[in-house]
Amino acid sequence: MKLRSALLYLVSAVLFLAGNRGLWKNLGAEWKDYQKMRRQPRSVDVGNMDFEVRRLEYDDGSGRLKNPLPYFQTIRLEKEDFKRHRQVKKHVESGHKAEHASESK
Amino acid sequence: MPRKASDQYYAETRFLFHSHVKVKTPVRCGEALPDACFAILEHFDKHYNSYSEGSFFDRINRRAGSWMDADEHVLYMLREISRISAMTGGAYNITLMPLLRLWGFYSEDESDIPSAASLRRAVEIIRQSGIEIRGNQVRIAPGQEIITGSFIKAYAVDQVLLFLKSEGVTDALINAGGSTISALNDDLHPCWVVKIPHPDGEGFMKELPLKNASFSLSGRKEHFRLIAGKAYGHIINAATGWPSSNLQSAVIAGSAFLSDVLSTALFAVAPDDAGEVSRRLGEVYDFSYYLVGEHWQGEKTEFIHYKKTDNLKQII
Repeated sequence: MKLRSALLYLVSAVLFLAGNRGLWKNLGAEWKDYQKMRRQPRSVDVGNMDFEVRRLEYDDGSGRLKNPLPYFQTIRLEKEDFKRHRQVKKHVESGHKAEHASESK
Repeated sequence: MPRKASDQYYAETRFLFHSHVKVKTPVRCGEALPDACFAILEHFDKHYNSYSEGSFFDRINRRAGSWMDADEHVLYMLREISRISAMTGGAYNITLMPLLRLWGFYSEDESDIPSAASLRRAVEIIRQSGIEIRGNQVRIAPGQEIITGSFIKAYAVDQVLLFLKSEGVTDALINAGGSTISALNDDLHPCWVVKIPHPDGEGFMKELPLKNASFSLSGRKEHFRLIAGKAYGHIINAATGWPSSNLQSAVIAGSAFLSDVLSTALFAVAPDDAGEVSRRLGEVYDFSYYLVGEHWQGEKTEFIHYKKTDNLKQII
């Protein structure tokens, strides 16, 4: 019983694939278009470009990572005082207080 | 929606021109406005203050006796100052640095009263020729030295006021070291109030409403040399070589430069000459002033108002 079911399933699959000629025709046309597109030179799409990856080398002597390319150097920032860059908040005075004059300097 | 007077101001103080300068602008005008004002003040402190190395006036001083290039700001200031100096009979003179040194104002040492001969020599150096202007060049005589303390920060304040007006700001205050205070006002905030210190004591003498004008104060209560138990003020009558004996002068004028120069000029003149000098100045400039002489006994001081348009002297 099981063998019969398997044979019937196999026959139906063969009939589906062999009988659906349009499917093979469409798949063939898409494959040709894809190959044609791959052969054409691609225009640069900056938005879709991958990140540039630089490979760092580990220096056993110093125990640090080194970048062999001079235009991409690792900068250590742990000593930078970022609070220094914070904008000083302006003092706000309310009302119209009298201004004190004093003699010339 | 009706407009409302500003009630909140950004108030920032920075140390410029050897004094604390405060700029107060409405919060609604933005946080960047005081920074722009200070940029102007810093520019004038750096490029025009005689104490700033390499400034226009520093170079004129270092090359005394030679013609030096100047820009329109320097030429304007020097022309006006020369005119005012002439009207004070030379009592107000910005090349008087040799006299200030003679009286020990730039020395830590104990000083004596300068001898009559040394005073006479210093006065002669100062008076030998005025500040000469030829085209866009300026020359002072050898031995002379310009000191910008009586006008440069006020001139810078005027430049800030011009900038604020060009930005459409109609309500602001600039307090340049307390000695020059300038006010911008509109109909919603009609005036600022200035407290004037007592000429010879503690506390304040009066409160002055200031509206779209500048106020300057000169005195000797805070800045003097003590010689043999007597106080000699830092404002010197360049015609005599002696420190002025007046106690206080105050001027209100349309520009900070004018109020600052006139308050020093009127302080420098002898008390007996002040009336005649102010009358002469009143023929050329609009201003109000009072002068407190050394014999002041606490009488009420009143501003005397000069208006050049009708040459009318009023007491307000």
